[in-house]
Amino acid sequence: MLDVLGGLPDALSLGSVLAMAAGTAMGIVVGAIPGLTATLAMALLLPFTYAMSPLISLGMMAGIYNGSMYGGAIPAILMRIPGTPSAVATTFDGYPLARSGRAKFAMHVALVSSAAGSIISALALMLLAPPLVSFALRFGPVEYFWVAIFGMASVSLLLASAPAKGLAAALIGIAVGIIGMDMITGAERLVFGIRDLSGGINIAVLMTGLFAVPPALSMLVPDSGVGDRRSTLSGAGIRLADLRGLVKTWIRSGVIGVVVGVMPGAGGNLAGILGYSEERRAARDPSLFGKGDPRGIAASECANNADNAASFIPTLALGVPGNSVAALMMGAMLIQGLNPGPALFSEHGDVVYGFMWQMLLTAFLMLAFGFAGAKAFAQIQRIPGALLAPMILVVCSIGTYAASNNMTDVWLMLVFGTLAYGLSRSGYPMAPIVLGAILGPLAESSFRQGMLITRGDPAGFVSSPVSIVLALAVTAVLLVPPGRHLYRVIRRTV
Amino acid sequence: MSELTRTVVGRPERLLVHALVALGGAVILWETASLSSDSATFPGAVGLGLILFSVISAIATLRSVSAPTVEAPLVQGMIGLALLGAYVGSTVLAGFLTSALWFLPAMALVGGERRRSWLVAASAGFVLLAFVVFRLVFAQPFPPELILGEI
Amino acid sequence: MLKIATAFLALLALGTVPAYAEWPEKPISMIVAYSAGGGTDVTARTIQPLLEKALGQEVIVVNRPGAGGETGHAALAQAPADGYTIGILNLPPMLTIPITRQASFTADDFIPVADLVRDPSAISVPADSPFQTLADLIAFAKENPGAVTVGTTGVGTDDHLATRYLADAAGIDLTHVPFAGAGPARTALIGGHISAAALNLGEALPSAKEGLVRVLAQFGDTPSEFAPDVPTVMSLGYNVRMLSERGIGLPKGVDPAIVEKLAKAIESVAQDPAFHSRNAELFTEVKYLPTDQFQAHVKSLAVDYKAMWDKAPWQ
Repeated sequence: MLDVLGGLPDALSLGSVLAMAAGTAMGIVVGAIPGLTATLAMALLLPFTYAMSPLISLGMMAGIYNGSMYGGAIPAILMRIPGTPSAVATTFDGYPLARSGRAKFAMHVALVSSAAGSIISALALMLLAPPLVSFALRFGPVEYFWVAIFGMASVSLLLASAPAKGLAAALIGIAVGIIGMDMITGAERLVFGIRDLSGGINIAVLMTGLFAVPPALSMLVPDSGVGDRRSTLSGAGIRLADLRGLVKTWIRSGVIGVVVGVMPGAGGNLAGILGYSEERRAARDPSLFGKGDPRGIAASECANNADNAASFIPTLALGVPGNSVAALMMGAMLIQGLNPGPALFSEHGDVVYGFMWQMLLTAFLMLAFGFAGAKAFAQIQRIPGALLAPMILVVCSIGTYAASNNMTDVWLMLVFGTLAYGLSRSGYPMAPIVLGAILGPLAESSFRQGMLITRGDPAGFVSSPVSIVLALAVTAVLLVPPGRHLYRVIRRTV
Repeated sequence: MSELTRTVVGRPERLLVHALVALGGAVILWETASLSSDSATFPGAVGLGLILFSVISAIATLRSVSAPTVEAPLVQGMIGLALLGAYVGSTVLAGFLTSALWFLPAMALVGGERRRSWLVAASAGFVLLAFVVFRLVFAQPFPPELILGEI
Repeated sequence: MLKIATAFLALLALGTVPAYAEWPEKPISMIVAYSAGGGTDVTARTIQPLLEKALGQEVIVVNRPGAGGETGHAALAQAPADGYTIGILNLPPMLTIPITRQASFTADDFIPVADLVRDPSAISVPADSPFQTLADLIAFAKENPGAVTVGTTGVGTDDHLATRYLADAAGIDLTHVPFAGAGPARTALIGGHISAAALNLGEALPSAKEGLVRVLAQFGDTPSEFAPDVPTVMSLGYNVRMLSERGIGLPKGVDPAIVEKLAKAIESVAQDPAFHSRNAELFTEVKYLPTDQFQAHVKSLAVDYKAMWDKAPWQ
């Protein structure tokens, strides 16, 4: 505990504060621009960190990471385009709320919830890292299989209005996720002889195509879509009473975000969607979800920020990055001569604990910048849709190219955009595509790894306590809604 | 959601999309048929599922008349996608920013923007800003630009 | 108008004139076939400032990850042979990828310039494993065929090949469980979900120093300076040698004068004490091989892998 406090003075040094402020501001802007992600911003920044002192470069990266998660909510709310992949679920309620003239309120909910998520996550990193690491270590292939199934089952049920289309969308996502080398046998699947596909599809490219292209196209329709823009800026902001109603949501989503962050391989995009679906499931009155329920925004934004600091728990403790951003941070640390792992805490405690404080402090910086800048961000609404649309597409193209230095990815973005436009017009939902692309391959490879480890014995899939709990959770998710329905029917008839 | 609704998608278009989804499933089945059973099981199931669900969706579509959508109407959507394709193609030759100089005004015209001088100024301003951000702030190699040059 | 056009053409032409004598006169891109923050990337970024110093020109690291290294190596192979695109050559992927699949490059598309660092593959077990030595593990596997699960960093990696040929050499049956890279494999190992894992020594040692895993043996030719008490597999009587190596290469067709100039610069990087201390921190051995030796080394490895594949393909 005292060790943790020891990092505070370093985190509060002038250089560190300036780095955090610059990083947070940069993160919000990068996050707010569709096509540019935190991963991209940090990858582009990486070469410069070589010459910086560790806490300056880490502070900057902490700011970018936290800031971008909130920044992603801005276009999600104002334009129905998630600025980062993690903000997909923020569009569900954020955009309808903004359309009903409460954009300012929606942005405030997103901001405060993002900060709440970051704070929960940073506290988990500071106080709970050792128990969370031993918890994460109990997850082997078998347990990951159940996690993937749980995620897919839990979210598919959200789409009960048109189950066939929701499930088809999830399968399309899985098919996209399968493209490339089969991890277990090394065979190439769905590559069709295109060498650039043999490495698989980058999820960020898929997301940009799915979520930026169709809304940009709809901006081309005069006096509709984003229309009536000036009025959306007005409206009351958030009040203290509103905050009280969101505390429960934050706790729920915060825990989901931390758990997703601790498990290597998932990430903020999953945290946001899962947080949203669990919030909707937990709500006593879920009828407002999808129509502008502030709890929907709060759940998505809190969960995607709560994933942040938590994803560093396995990175710092084991040297295993929780997601792509954590992998970049780990690279930045290695370049600085800091080898992640338990020894890091004893050898470079000042840096590790200082960094934890930075993750916490940037949450407050984000809050300050967000409130100060909300108006400025909303100015983007003043640009006519006809001009904003090509601007978004240009930035998406450049961002997609910059992430991989590969023109094929830009073409793929166009392909996915076309696909999304056609599918969405016919009523296929987009979110399950993303979920399928992330969780489908995880489910398959962990199932096959599990079969290898248990030597083909299915009983091995329910042999550890964690796997039994997860299997029960999946069963509950599948059986509770029909059960509840049955219960109501019976009570009515009795 | 009703205030977001603008256009209506007809039955033929929806049936066509369901058919294309089913076709995608068939292609997946065909592509994975040559793989070892270990690798082919999962994608095979995905392909079959796509065919099954698109048939269910098609039956549902046949029972309904039309459905609303929040997406752009076909005219704007198709022209927009074609323009985006042309833009991506031209970036290989002329660079992302140089190509944006024609792409921005062209798409804005499709979107109904008519103030020409304002359009030119906005495009130039945007390109300059993007140039500053991407070329000078990020040391990242991009395809060579026809104008503005390499960094 | 004509004047402007001529000036414009002249400008264009200026950019394309190959100036061998004065190479390098503009920034050089260094292609890394793996993502930012990974082991190869860290090596590249360790080399970058030292190479900049030696060449007196900016060096930009360009990550081209994908397909287990195929995308990046192909990008280097297809880059213009003007000396302004160099790349990290990863062995064995650069040699094994074209053997195992119809890849978009061949090993002959490169000019190997110098070998810089290497990291042998190694067999590790969780700290609470009953196996104290490699002999324990092999004896158990002999009696219980298939019961020992060995996680690796993926199909076709040096760790997979090491496992595969160790099993052949010892006449045992190991169950191979591929993971998506070193991180997931190491987590599964520490968590005890697999009986053993093949990881590069540099990837296993940080966890070994913390007492989370035990390294039983490594696949290098000599004991490592970082872990002198870890025996080599060869010293235990199994003729398997498997190392991951990182050198620097150029696309074929580059002017020999440029190759020589680059080789000189890399030599000074390899002699820089900063390079050695950084690699010691990263647990990677510096093993500098000048151009002729590196090329001979690559050639002999290529023959070896081809022979291994023809005898018993690993995937």
